[in-house]
Amino acid sequence: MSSVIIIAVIVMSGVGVVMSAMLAVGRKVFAVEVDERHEKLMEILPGANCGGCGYPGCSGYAAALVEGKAVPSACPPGGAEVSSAIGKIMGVEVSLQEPKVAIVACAGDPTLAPERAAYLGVSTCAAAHAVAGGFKACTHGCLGLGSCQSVCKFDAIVMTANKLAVVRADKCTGCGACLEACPRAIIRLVPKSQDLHVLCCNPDKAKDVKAVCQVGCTGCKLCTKQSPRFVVDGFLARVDWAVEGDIPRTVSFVCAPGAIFDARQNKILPWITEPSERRDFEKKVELWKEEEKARKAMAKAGAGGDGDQKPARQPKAQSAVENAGGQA
Amino acid sequence: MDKKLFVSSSPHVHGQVSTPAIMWTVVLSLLPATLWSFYLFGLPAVTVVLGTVALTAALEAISNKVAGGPLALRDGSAVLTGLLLALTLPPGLPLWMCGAGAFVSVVVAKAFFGGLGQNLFNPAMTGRVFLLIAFPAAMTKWLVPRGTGESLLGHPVTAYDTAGKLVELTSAKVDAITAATPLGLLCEKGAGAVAAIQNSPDLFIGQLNGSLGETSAAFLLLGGLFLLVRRIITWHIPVAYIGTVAVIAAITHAVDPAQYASVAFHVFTGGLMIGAFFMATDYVTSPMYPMGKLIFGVGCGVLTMVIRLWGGYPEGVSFAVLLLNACVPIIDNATRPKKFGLTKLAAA
Amino acid sequence: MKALTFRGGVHPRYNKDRTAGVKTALLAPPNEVVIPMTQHIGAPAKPVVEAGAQVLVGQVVGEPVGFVSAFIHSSVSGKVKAVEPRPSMSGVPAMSVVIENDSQDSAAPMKGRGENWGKASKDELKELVRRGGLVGMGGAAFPTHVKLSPPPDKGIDTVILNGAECEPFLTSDHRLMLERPKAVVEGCRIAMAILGAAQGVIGIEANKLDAIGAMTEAVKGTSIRVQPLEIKYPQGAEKQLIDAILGREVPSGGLPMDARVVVQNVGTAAAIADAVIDGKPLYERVVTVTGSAIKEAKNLIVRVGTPVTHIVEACGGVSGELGKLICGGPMMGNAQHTDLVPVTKGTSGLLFLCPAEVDTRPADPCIRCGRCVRACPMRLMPTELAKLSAVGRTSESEAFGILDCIECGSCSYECPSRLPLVQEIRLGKSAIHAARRKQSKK
Repeated sequence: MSSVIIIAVIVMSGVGVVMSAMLAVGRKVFAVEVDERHEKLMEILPGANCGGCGYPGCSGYAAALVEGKAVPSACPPGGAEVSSAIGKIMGVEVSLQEPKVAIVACAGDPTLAPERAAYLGVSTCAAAHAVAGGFKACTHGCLGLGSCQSVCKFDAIVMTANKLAVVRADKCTGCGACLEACPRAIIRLVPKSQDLHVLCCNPDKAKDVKAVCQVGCTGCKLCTKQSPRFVVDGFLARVDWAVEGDIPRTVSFVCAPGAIFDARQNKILPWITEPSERRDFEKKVELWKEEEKARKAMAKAGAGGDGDQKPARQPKAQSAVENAGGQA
Repeated sequence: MDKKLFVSSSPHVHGQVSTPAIMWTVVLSLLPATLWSFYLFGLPAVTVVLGTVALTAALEAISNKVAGGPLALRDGSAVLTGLLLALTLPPGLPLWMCGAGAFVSVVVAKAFFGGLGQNLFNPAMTGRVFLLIAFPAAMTKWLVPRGTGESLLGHPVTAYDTAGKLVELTSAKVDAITAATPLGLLCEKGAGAVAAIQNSPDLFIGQLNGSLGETSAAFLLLGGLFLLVRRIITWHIPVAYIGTVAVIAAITHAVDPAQYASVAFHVFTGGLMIGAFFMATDYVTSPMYPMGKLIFGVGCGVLTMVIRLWGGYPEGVSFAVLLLNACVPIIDNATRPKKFGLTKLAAA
Repeated sequence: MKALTFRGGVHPRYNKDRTAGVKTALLAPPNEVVIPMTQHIGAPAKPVVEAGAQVLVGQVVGEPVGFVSAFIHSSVSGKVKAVEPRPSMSGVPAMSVVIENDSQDSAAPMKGRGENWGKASKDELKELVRRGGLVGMGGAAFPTHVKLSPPPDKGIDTVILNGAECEPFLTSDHRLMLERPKAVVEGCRIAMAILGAAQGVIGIEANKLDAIGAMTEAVKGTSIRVQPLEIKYPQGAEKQLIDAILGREVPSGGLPMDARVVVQNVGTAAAIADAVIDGKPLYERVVTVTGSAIKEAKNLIVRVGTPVTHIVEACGGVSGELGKLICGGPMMGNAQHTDLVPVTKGTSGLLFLCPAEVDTRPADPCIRCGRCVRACPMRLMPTELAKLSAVGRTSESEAFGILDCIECGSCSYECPSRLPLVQEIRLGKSAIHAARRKQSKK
C-alpha cells in the first residue's frame, strides 16, 4: 500500500518538475523584450482604449511613446495629470493643452426639427444617413439613433427622451471617438472651459432652416452684437475660440430660435415642454437677465477707475449637467 | 402628402419564406412519425410528446423573459426542439425527466449560447444525450409496441423481450412488457441475435421497439422527403450521412455477416432517419456550404457506425451529430465557396 | 434557342403585366423643370446658364467637370428661373437649373451624322455620344463615353446589350425593344464600331417573347444576335449577363472590359443612335410608372427634370394611400422621402407601393439557413459579410470579398429572417472605402 503512495508521489512530483522546467525554458526562449518604460506607462494610462490618442488602444500609445513617435499630451481622458506623469517617465517637457470636451452641435430633436420619412432598417446613424439622405427634414441635424453613444467609452453621451444626443461635459474626456461615429459630422471638440455654444450645423439660408427646424441658426447675427467671439459664416453662427472677449450669459436669450446652448444649464428653452418647468426656467432666465444688467452696470461704473476688474463669473454649477440625464 | 413615406435600403420586396414558416413546416413534417408513435405506444407516447413540447415552450418563454428579449415563441423553434427531443425519448419516460431534458435543450444548449441562431450544439440532441448519461436505466427501458396480432404487412408482429428472445405479440400483451431494442441486442450479442429480423420490412414500417420517433423509418423518410421537396433542407447532409452508414454496413456485413448486421438493419433501425433528416440538417448547427454539408454528413456517418459497431453504446447518432456540431465552425471556415470572378476567366 | 443563365439568383414576383402590353405614351412637359447637375456617376456638371437666360430644348445647361462626368441639356424651352440647390433623388439637395417652360418646345439646332455614320471616325462618334450627355440608362447612370473608351489593350471583342430587364415591375426596356428595335440595333452597331468589336449580342429574358421576336427581326443582316435568357433575377447584372451569354467570368475586382466585353443597356443603345444619327441629346427617357398605389400604370416618355408630382397627376393620381415611393425597381431602387423630386437620366421606373406592401416587421435572428449563400450571384457569403460589417471587422469582410458584392438584393430578398443584409454590406463597403480614402490622404 505504502509503495503505491510513494510511487504516486514520485510520479506526480516528477511530472511537476519536468513541466516547470519546460515552462522555465519556454519563458527564456520565447521571452519578449519589453521596454520597462512601456510597463510603467501602461500603469498610469487610463486603460479605456478609447483611441483618442490616435493609436490602437493604450498599449499602442505606450509603444508609440517609447518609440518617441507620440507626444505625452495626446491622451485626452488622462488630461494634465497623466500628461505630466508621462513626461516624468519619458523625461521630456510636457506642453499642457487645454482640455476639450465634445458637444453635439444640434438642438433639434424631432419635436423641433421634424422627421420627413419613416425609416426602416439598420438602426445606426450611418445607415439611416445613407438612406434617402436621412429621415430628418434637416439634412444636417442629429438623427438620434445613438451611434455616438454606443462608441463612447465613458458614458458621456446621453440620448434624451426626444432622441437627441447630448454630451455630459462632466464625463466627457474629449477623446473624439464620437466625432468619427457621427455620419453628419455635427459633433465637435470645444475647450472645456467654454460654456456657450451654437448648437446648429445647418449652413442654409434662414428660410430653408426655418422650414426644417425651429431651433436652427438662421444667421441673424444678433449674437455677434453681444460678443466679438461670435462670428457668422454665411448663415451659420459659431464661436471663434481664437478671438479674445467676454461672452455675456444673456447671449443665449437674444438668439431668436434658441440655438445657443448654455453648458451650465445643459438645456435650451425649446427643449422644455412641461409647462411648470418651463415657467421656472423662464423665471430663471429673467433673473439671469437682471444679473447680467447689474453686472454690466457695475462694469461700466468700475471701468472709470478700476481697469483690471474682472467680469463677475458665476461659479460653474456642478449639478447642471445632470439635467440632461434627468431628461433621458 | 401629409403622411410620411417609408424609406429603407433596397431591396424593397421580400420572399415568402419566413423563419417561423420554416420551423412550423418541420414540425408538420414530423407529425406522421409522431402520430405513428401514438398509435404504437399509446398513452405513454402521448404523455411524453405533449409534456416535453409544453415544458420546452414554457422554458423558452421563461428564458426569453429573463434575457429581456421579445417573446420568441412565435418562431416555433421551441416547439420544434421539444418535439424533436420527445421523439428521441423512450415512451413512458417520467415527465420530470422530460422536463430535465427540455431544460438542458432550451436553456443550457440554446439560451446560454445567446438564443436562436447562436447555439453551437443541436438543442434536442444535447437534451437527449444529457438524459442518456444522467438516467441510463430509464432511457433504455423500452416499451413493446402495440401488437395487433398481425402487422400491416400481414404477418405476425414480433418484438424482443427482455431476454432478447423474439416473441410474437398478441393484443393481450400490449404495453405489458419492456424490451430491448434491436440495436441494443446487436451491441450486446452480435448480428446473430438480430438475424431473424435484419431484413424484415418491419424495420422500415417501424413496428419495433425503440424511442418514439426512431421506430418508423418510413414515416420519417416521408417527412424528410417533404422537407426536401419544400426546399427546407438540401439533399447533401441526409444523403452523405445515410450513404456513409450504408457503405460501412455493406463492407462490414460482407466481411463477417455473423458479427455485423445488414445494410437494411443499420439504415432503418435506431435514430439514423430522424438524425439524418431532422437533427443533422438543423440550420444553426450544421455547415452552410454544400461541400461542408457533405463533409459533415460523412463525418456523422462514420462516427455513428464506429460507435454502433465497436463502441460501448448501442446507438451513436446523437453522439455523432453533437461531435460534428462542434466541428461546424472549422468546416465552414474550410469550405467557403470560391467567389465569382476567380474561376472561369482562364477558360474564356 | 436554349435560355442561358448564371448560378444563384432568385425568382421574385415580376408584376410586369400591368404595363408590359401598354404602348408607351408621351408625357406633356410640365410648366417647370428642375434639372439637377448630378444625374450621373462622377463629378457633378457645372451649370453654364444663369437665372434669366433663355434656353432651348436640347441646349447645354451643364458642362462636364473632368472625364468621368456628363453634359446636361435643357429638356424644355423657356427661361431659367434659378440655379440653386433643389431636392433630388439622392435625398440631399443638388445644384439644379430650374427652367420655366414657355411651351414653345423650340429646339436647339441638332447636328447628327445621319444614316451614314459609318463614315465617321471613332473619335467623332465618341464625341457625339459625349456631347449628347449619355449615361447608362439602366439605373447606375455611368457616363457612356467613358464606357466606350476602354484602354486599347483590353481587346474588346463583344458588345452585349442588356435587354434582360430582370427588375420586377419595370417594362420600359421591354416596350422600347418592341417600339424602337431599329434604334436599339443601330445603337449597338455604333457601339461596336467605336469599340472595334466584331460581335454583338442582345440578351433578353425569355418572358419577353414578343421583344425577342422584334429584336430577332431587327438584327437580320447584322453581326448581332439575340440571346434568350432564363427568367431569373439578377439576370441583367453586367457580370451575370456576361457569364450567362459568353461563359466568361469578369475577374474579381475587374470590369467587364477585363473580360473583353462592354455591356450597354438597350435604352442606352437607342440613345446612342439618337445622339449619333440625329444629334439628339439625352433630355427625355422612358419611365415605367407602376405599383398598386398609382391609379393608371403606364410607360411614359418623360422629359428630364419633370417632377414626380407631375407624373402622378398624369397617371390619375395616387390610389388610396402612398406608403413608399421607389425610384427604379423594387430590388435595387432607391426609396424617396418625397414626390417633390425630379426625374433624371437614370430613372428607369417610379414604383408606388401602398403602406400594406411595406414590410415593417422587425428582423428575426439569423438561423444560418444558407439561403442567402445559395441566392448570391457573386457566390459570396452575405450573412457572414453582414455580421462582420455590423461589428466593423472590415479587414476580414474585405478578405471574404465584400467589395465584390453587386448589391443586387437577392440575399435580403431570400432571407427568411428579413435581415437587412444588403444594407449592412453596403455600410461595410463604404467603411472600407472611407478607410482607404483616409489612408491615401495620410
